[in-house]
Amino acid sequence: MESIFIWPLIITPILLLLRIFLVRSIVSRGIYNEILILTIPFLCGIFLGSKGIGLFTDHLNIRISPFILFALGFQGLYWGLFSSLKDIQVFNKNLRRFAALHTFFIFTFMLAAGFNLLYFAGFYAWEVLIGGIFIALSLTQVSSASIRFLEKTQNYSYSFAILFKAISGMSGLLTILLFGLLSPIGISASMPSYFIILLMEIVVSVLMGYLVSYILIKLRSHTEDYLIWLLGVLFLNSGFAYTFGFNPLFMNLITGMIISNRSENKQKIRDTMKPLVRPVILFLLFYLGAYTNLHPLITPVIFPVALLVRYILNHWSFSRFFTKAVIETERIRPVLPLLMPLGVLSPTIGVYLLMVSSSTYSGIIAGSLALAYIGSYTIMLFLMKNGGKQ
Amino acid sequence: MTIALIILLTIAVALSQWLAAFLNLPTAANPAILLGIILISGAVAGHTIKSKNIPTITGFVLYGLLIGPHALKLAGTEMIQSLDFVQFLSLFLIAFLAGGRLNLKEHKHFYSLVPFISLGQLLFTLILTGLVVGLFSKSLFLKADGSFPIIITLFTGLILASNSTAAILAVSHENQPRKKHGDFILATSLLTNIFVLIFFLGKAVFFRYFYQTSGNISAMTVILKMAIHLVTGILTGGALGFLFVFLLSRLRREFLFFIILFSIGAYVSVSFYLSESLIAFITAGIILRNFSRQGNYFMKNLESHSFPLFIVYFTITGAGLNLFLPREYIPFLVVLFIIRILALSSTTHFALRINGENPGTATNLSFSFLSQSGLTIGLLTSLSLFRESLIPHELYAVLIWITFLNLLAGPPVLKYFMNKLKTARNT
Repeated sequence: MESIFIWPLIITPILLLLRIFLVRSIVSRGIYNEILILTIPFLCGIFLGSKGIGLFTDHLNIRISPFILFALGFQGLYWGLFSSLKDIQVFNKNLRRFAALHTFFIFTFMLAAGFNLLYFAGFYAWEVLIGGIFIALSLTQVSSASIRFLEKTQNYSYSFAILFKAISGMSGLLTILLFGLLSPIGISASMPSYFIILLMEIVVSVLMGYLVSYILIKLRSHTEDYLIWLLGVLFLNSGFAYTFGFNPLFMNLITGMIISNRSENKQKIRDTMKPLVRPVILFLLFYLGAYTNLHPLITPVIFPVALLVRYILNHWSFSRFFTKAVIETERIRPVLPLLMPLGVLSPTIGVYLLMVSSSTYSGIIAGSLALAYIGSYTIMLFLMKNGGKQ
Repeated sequence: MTIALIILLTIAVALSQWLAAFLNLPTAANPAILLGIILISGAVAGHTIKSKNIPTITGFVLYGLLIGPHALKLAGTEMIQSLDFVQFLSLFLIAFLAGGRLNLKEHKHFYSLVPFISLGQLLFTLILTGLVVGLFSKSLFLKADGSFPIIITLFTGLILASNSTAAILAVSHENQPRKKHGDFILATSLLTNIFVLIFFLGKAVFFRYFYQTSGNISAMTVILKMAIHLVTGILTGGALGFLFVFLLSRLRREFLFFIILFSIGAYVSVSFYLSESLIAFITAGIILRNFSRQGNYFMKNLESHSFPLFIVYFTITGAGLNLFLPREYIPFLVVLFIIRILALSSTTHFALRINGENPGTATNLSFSFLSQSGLTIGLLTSLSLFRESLIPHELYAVLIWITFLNLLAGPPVLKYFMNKLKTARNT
């Protein structure tokens, strides 16, 4: 049954590869290139994983576990580095309010949609509960990476890009915070233990943040040392999180926020981590590919439905509030394709689900998230391409 | 203050491990924590010990010894084993980086000298080792039938001839020697190591030939097998290199992922063929550097971000050393240590002088190849994996001690002579 889904996955990139060589326009070639780059790691994961030649064994999983934890924590830290209080205060009240309301609005509706979809797919109650939360969290964030594709089109406006990035950044920040608040539920037996775990997470990450920011202030201008300290704290935070069942994204987010708040050279610190952003995303997609499980109903039907619901909600929220309250115009047209792609937190949350649960349902949801991530980018790029033609 | 913070952090890590074990958590042995503490504390140890003539990597090695299973036991044997992929990845990236540093279009006259020096180092080391082993064989390694232990001579000689390209890269990164000299040292080190690796190809079929009793492997088979493995390694590296050239022309920010992906592939599929894989990665690096327009920029970028790799590599190497040695082997150890210095430096000095290099430069360059590290240990363990014991355990202990001494003494010596070269140039 699974081969029915796997064959199109293999054939599509081959066709795309051929298309890249045939297309003359640089913009179109860039679009196909982008889709291909996102698809290849996922396919490599499937090829090496149990669905392929089976090289990705449990032994290898244990051996590369520091890198998986690193990739998870990296998203949190990088987000934190861009989320100092000063960064947030730059934006006006309307924008902040919209970002918060939009995030909670999408999360609530996606939670309801996720529960219903998994229930109709025949999942058990516990799987519906956990899976629904993970689906809702992973579909909440608005992608900020999508804005760079708009740069090449006529619809691009610098001020709009800044606003959109701000909303995306804040929706990501709120999603991770929400994720951090929700994740201790999975391992705590009672309310007091929930609070103790949450408190421990916050205390450890705050201490780490202060320690590293103190050192980074002392180092001043050595990029090499910045990298070592940031990588070191990332591994330590993620390692502690794995050992004690904390959330690596949440911990690293807090650490990153403190570093960003206290450091004078925060732009330099951000630049140090920048070259790792794309390899980390591809690594997450690769890992999702290795452990993906395909479901006859969830993969081809339910997730496209979830994507559609998400798009409609995003569209409604932006056209109803964003245009009036934030940019004070009625023009929503350039935003439309940008609301389609999932944020980078989708594969990250998928990998986290695989880390905390080894059951089949986690593989199904995580694999579907990766496919939805790639698929949503593909739809956006084609929408943008067609928009450009018009 | 930084050191106090590191001590606090180390105590926190030890406490967390204790707490995880106390709570009986299934995730107690977590390599990510160890990796984090190695990165931060190793870097601080390196910077603390760093002086005019002592490079940072000496600090990493000493820190590794300190936290290893024979001292503070912060990193136990199991923990170190759990980081074998990280060390594998570091070794391969260093091999790739080393290959990528070689620009074959520059310093052509210097490169023509490199094969002779490498071959000379190997041969002279083998000859001297043969003499020493012959001298000590009566008391230490005499076989039951009284024959000369040729396998011991060959194995010891090859291990002694090997050097640490990683240490050369790390010290060069820190010291920035004159490009001509830096490239010469790196190229010679790489080629000598490749010559040594050839003898370990095909799961060390060369050594099996000497060990066999029933004569089921002929000399021709051995040569053929080694040639096939060498050609396969080079061709695989070539294919990989050109694939990287293609990928780099299409990708920029994502390229690092693909290198890691290939390393994972190599780890799961060909990790038993260490020598072949290393040759392949060196070849891939050389091809990327010399056949890609963006190769130079990419390699420089990779090198500028490679310092964490060296910290992890040298600290784990230091932590993994088992320094037990029976007392009667100490004279043998001392003699081997001295003849290694003699063989490597005299060959290089002699060849450079014949080539017309001035005596000062020749002397300074001739002491560049003393360091040994992970590659040597990898070659040592490759024979210990055999079910039959090809080499006496005591000899392993001696060679591990020599590697340790060279790991400690080699980088400072290299840095000292690099500084001298710089000073001579400035005056």
